[in-house]
Amino acid sequence: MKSSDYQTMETSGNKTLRSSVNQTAFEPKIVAFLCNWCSYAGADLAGVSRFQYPPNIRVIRVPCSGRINPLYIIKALYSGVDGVLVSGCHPGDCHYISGNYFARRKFALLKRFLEYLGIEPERVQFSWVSAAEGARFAQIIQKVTNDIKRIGPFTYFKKRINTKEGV
Amino acid sequence: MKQAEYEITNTVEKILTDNKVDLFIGYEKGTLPLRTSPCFLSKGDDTSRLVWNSFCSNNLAVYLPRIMSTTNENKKRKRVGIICKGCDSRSLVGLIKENQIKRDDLFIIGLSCTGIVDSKKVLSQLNGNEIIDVSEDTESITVKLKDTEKTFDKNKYLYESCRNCAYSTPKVYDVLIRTAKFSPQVVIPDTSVVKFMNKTREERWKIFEMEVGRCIRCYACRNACPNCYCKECFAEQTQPRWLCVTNDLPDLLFYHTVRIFHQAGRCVDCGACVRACPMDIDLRIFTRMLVDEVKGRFDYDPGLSIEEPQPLATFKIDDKQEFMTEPEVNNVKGYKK
Amino acid sequence: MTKDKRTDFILEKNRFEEFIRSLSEKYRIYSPSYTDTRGHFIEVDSPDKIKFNQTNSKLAVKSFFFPQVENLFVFDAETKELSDKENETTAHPIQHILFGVRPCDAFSISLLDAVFMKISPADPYYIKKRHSTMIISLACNHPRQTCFCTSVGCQPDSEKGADIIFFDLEDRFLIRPVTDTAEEILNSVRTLLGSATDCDQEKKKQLMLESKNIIHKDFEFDDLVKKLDNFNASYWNRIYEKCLGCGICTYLCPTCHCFDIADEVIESNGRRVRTWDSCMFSLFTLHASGHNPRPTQKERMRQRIMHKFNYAPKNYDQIFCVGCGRCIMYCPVNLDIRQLIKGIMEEE
Repeated sequence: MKSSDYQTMETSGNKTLRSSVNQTAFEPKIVAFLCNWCSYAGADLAGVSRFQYPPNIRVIRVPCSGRINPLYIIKALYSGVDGVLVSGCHPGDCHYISGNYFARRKFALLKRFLEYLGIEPERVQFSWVSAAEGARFAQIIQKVTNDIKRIGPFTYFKKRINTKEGV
Repeated sequence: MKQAEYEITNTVEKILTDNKVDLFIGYEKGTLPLRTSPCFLSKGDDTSRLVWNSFCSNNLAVYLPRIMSTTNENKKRKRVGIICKGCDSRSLVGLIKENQIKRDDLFIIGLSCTGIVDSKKVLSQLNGNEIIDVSEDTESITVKLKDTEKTFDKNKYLYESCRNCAYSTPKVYDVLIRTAKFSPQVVIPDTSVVKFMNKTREERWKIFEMEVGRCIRCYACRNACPNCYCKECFAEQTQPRWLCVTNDLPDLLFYHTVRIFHQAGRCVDCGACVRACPMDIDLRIFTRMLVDEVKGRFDYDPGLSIEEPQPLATFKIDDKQEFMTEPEVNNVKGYKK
Repeated sequence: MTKDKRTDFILEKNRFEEFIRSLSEKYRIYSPSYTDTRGHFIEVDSPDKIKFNQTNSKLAVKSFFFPQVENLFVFDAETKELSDKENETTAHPIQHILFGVRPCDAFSISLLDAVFMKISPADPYYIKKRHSTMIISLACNHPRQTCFCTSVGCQPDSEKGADIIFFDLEDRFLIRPVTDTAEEILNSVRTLLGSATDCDQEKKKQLMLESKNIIHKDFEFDDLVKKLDNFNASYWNRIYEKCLGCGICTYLCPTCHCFDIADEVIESNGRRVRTWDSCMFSLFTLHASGHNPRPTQKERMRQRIMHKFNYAPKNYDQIFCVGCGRCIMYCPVNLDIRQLIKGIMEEE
């Protein structure tokens, strides 16, 4: 049985791997929420066009970027992913007319709030990718993955099972 | 204060006898020194129980969604009268905007508030000695202990949220009562957010962990907040289960991050959450950030106007999007320009 | 030795450090924490960690035996191995000492004993901690305004639930062993202790009398149980209105013991965990069908009062309230249980 150490308050804040650890060993897990009509199609196009991008993202297809509840992003971090990307249609091009405008406001607040609390700005990122922008999608994934690789794994929020009893 | 109490009692007596409201919510004397307690009066109850002083700390708007809910058991439309300080009236406006209560069913007695005294702060100055009696005047409060008396300057012992309050007089009311010798309070601009932001990222996270790590998941912050009226809170949902009910640090961080974020654009900074917390967690360091961010980004002050739409329920075509990620170009294999 | 023949001891306060040091060689000593820390107890590794002149801690002592989060067992979801070491041993020698517990909190532990140990099946997690811990309580010389232990059958010098009780006689402690295990442990530090004289006993009696007089006796409980038999009384319609429905009163209460059990699995690590729950929460009795037999705060408030003051006396012959006053001090809306009870008693 794997033993998981309980994260004590004193150690969980600073457990990011810095350059002292072999960085090529760290492969981040990044969740990408992609809107069905633009970003997901753009990702598809990137694949069809054989643009190469890092394999670290796990894609979750949503109908619109406005569908994304900030709870999902925080839940992803709680589950142990190292980064989250949310991508939608460019402003003005939303398939549902205005979903991405609402998303833009929501995510502005969420991103600033998480940064304020002390989570690295690179952890949660947002982008606009249209269905025709396969190359751009690959570039964005490359950037996000590079950023997360640089700042290391996310351990602040990760829920671990405490197998020891506590008083 | 006495004058205000007299006016309140008279008004309430009148509206209850005239059947203008079915229920009135105000403050009555508490059983602890420096405290009052919410008071629920119906027709025929003794209205002299009502008080108004610098210890009326509860945000009474929190009771309204559950009382005035149209899905309540007896399905009868309940008209409610309520006493409002500035912050409470802003909560009311928020609730009206979100269709939780109807303005027509409310009778609001607005009070121009000069600030509420932080009872915990006063008690911490007494070295564990117990208070036998309390009296106050416009500038100070005096507590009588077993052997001595101590006087406290009100301005130094108000709640932080009161010292930073810019809207102490309700903007929405049916009757406005000005407290005796009312003088506009000097508003101390809030610096806690700026101070916090100037710390390093690691320091900020440490402080967040330290504060929130004390939480015992009693949900007093949520239950005291007028904006938290969800019948099923995300924290207690089992389908899907977002977080666990334990007080492991990740669960506490999750709960507080999301609960505070759920107040984005809605929090009126009444301070009810901080006052309710038994573990003295200073949630305002975190909630104020969103209040300031919403003001700066969307130029929106919650609770001032019933017509103005909520910031997250509307948008502008040219909203700032400086936070979006743009790619570093020319780093993609296979891309031929 | 029967209770009648037990002698009381005296410990001079200047020998208190030695006393603690000597005990800490064999046992781990804990004391309730009086500051807001993440833990409810501090380990007393040096005598200066023990604070006196405090009235009572914010969090109750129940979390020592009934922690807020407790692993019932852990398992590996892949290999399907399960480990519940808690049930393995049956012999529990004394390993821990809880020092400085107030008589109301010690009394509350005896009430929780009735729930977790006397009823079958007994709770092995609780038993293990309970049998391996000795409780040293400290009688109250200065009860607070919010204390009302004398109204609910407890006293500032109550010995129930404690193994040893200390009385603070200003420059010395009067030590009274209550149980047999206490006698053994005190014998190990016998050289530090003197015998209590009649003068000491007089002083203790006087201090306790003063202490009892500070506490208001607000009501007599004998009639309350009968009064509460009226499940449909009209006073239930008004009492609950102020209650916000948070869990402060239940979580801080030394006798409240409702819990929830949940499974947590992450990748292959799993555990079944027991956590505190509160009857004041709106979803406490929500059924899977969607029906909630206690739909509003009225039913929940009624349930809380009935459980403590009507059902518990019928089930356990005890009122499940020790008068510590924490629910009064920390309630955000100053809902005072004494006022509530008085209101109920006064109704027709």
